Amino acid sequence: MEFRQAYYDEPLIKDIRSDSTFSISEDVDENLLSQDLKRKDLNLPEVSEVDVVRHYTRLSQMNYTVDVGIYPLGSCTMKYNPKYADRIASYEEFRNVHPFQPESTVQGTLQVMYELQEFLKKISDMDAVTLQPMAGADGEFTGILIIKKYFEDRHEDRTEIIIPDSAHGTNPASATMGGFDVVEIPSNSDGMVDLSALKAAVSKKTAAFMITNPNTLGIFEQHIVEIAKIIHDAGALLYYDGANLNAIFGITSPGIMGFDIVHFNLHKSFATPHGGGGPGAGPVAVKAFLSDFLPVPVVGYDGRRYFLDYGRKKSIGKVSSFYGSFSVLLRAWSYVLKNGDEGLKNATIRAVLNSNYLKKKVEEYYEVPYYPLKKHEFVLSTENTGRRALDIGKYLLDYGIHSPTVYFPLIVKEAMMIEPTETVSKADLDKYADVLISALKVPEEDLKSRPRNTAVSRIDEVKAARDLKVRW
Amino acid sequence: MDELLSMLNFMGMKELEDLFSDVPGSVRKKSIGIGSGLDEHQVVERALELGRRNSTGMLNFLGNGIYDRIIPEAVNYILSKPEFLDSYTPYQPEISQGMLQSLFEYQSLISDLMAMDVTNASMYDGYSALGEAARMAYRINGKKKILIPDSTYDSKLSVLKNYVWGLNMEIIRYKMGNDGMIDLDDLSSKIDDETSAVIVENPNGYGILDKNVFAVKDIKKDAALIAYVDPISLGAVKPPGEYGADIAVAEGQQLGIPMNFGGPLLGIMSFKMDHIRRSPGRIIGESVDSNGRRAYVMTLQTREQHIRRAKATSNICSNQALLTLAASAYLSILGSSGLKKVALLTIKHSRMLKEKLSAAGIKPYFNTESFSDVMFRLNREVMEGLASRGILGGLKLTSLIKDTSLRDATFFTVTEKTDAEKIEKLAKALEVI
Repeated sequence: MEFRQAYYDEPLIKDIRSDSTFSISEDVDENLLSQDLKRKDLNLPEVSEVDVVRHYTRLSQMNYTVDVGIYPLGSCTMKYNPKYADRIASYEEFRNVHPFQPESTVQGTLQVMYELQEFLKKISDMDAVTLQPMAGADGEFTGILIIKKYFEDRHEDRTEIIIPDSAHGTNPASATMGGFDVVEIPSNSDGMVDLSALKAAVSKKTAAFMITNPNTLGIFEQHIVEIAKIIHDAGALLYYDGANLNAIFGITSPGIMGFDIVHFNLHKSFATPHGGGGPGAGPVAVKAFLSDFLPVPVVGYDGRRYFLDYGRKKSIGKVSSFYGSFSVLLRAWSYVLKNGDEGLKNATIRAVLNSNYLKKKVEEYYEVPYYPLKKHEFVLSTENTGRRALDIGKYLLDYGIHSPTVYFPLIVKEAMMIEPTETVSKADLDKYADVLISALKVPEEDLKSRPRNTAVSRIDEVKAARDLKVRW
Repeated sequence: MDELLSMLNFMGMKELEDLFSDVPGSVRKKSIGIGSGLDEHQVVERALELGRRNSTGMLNFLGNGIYDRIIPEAVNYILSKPEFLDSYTPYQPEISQGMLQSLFEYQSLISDLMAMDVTNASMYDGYSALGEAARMAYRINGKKKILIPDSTYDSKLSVLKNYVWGLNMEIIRYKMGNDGMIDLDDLSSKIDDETSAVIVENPNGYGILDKNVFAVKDIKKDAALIAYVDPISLGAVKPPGEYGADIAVAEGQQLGIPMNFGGPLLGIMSFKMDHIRRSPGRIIGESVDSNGRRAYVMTLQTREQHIRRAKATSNICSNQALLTLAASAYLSILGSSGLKKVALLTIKHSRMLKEKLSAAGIKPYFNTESFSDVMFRLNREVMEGLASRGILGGLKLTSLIKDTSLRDATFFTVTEKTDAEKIEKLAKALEVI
């Protein structure tokens, strides 16, 4: 398939002048406000509605979407998002609800939230859930604050959080935001946690160990039970980064593996649109002994009515303005409802099948380091090919395939991190493999001149940082 | 099934279970336990059924952070385009120029609205943006005291506390005067060499357009001035850049985003150019492509979590990109003229509300100019009574600030939608409950 993206020399919205067509019939006196409160001038563009719509329509045509082609961006989980969920989120009955309405007038909304809490408990085998965090990293931060408060409550001075070198960058960033020191430990030759390094790092100062399983190499940490024991024996907590949770639905769960806290990335695992970067939703689930520390409110049910429950004595308080990204929660709720036990498990199986199949197709050409069996994603290295991961990624764009995540995780040189997801067909995987392999056959000069079929060609990122033009 | 089998064969596997041979038996799970899935139409019907358990279409006098404002249908239309709705973070700028240019435009539009140098794209919501602003102030001056008004709501304070907990920053409250505005003497007496930031709110927690905010730059010494504002008010009211703010933050829900029970929201954060490398979140910059054409990319990424990890300026990864688009489309459709009108209509309606409720014996708490949220002296609970009459409103200040001396303060909120007829209905309803 030929891929061509539209290009418009689209002016900035401020340079489109066609007089605003927005109107409200009610009159108001221009001099209503006293002089000392008034602003001097305001220079928003004045554009007619049709020109605004055309502007953004043209811009939209210069933007890739999961509805156009595959998006195998490792660790980002860009699966196809079913359309019924968007439809449901558009209902006025949900959109038009104010957060301070009396509970009696929002029973439907509260029920959706309560049911989602229950779903998440079952999926994770944890005991209590907050839906409040607004993204995965916000969930991590919430988890970190819960850990902080828990040890404060126990009068234990634990200042360190251990994180593997393969971890998502948000893990160390969230731990530091919470005031902890980060202790990084290396992975072993199989790409898993090095148990002796872990034992050496654990001490009375350890508050928690933060990992994702499968990890960012797409490898399942097979010694997870032993890891949990090491951490718990030291009096510390085990934190599950749920970014890769969609690789284990129905197979195992954080709760069974011995984790104490987990965050979910609803926008990944539960198929809600990513919006060019968000909004997301990052609910956090904990074991019973931590449930008192969750942010307030959580949604309760007394058998008759749903209510906002503020009754948590040791709560960390709040991490966001209200109760979470409701329209994202609503989409996730509908996704779980549609899939059920079997659907979720089948999605996991297919995601893992797709990942291993694609790996097998390219492993003759690209080195795929570490333990051979992968989960929903795998990391290859382009180092053996003499080509740069970045260049190969740009080549893929010309074929209507989004580049993998490149240069992450940091422990693999010239890394390409590929996550096909369960919504990619065998035909698409075959084509993807063909294009990946053909990238090795074109002359290097050609590769450096990619992409060509996209709206613009290779962009000078250094200039952007050096000249720093960040507004009109 | 043929497809699955052929894929398994290719890998030399016998059954799908072989894909999970690395998961130890001791941690295996039999079934999730949420039951069977539903058909698509069943899911849709169930959602509609639950939706109908909400009472919508009520006359809305609720606010205090989330507002029922006019959203031009074109905003919803633009947001629903899959190229925006269902794309990811623009890590590959060559195929993401649409989102990148619109984010660049957002940065520009909001900077103009705030009269600040730069805006990032984007923060989760107003409260967390305030928390990030306090952390940013610490990165700017290394000091640990934050001053914040007595009129700040508990939930906003709680989010702020959580954001600065890891830095061991100290939060100190300053007083509001009898007119509901900042007590400048009290504030001045609390500012010292250790003060990292002074937080001001305009309109403040009592809903008042607070003129004393404009005088804080003269007494703040070396502290950073953080202004928390209502973006709609800036259609008419003096913006943070005009009164010396170092960082300006806001909740952007009002800019074209439905109420949605309070989420997702849009955190707005603007600042002076000097501080750009200390700012959290994502920033889009202009550059050129290899053919010399104008193009946009994410820039200054070396501040961010995926590169700097433990030393990053924030942990933000997924954020509110789509909602910045709502704000941009909203501001573009309204223009300066439309936004000014919306702001002035809001003020006009808050005056009408004060007159009509005064006539019904319910007096405004302060004589100062209010914006959307208007505080009245009302010593009874009216929320449920009004709800049973199809009206939402009557939020007690004590439900927002537990520890306040203003026990009888009750809010009714107006927007540009709340015209004389609606206010009349509220006044009538209040007379009988």
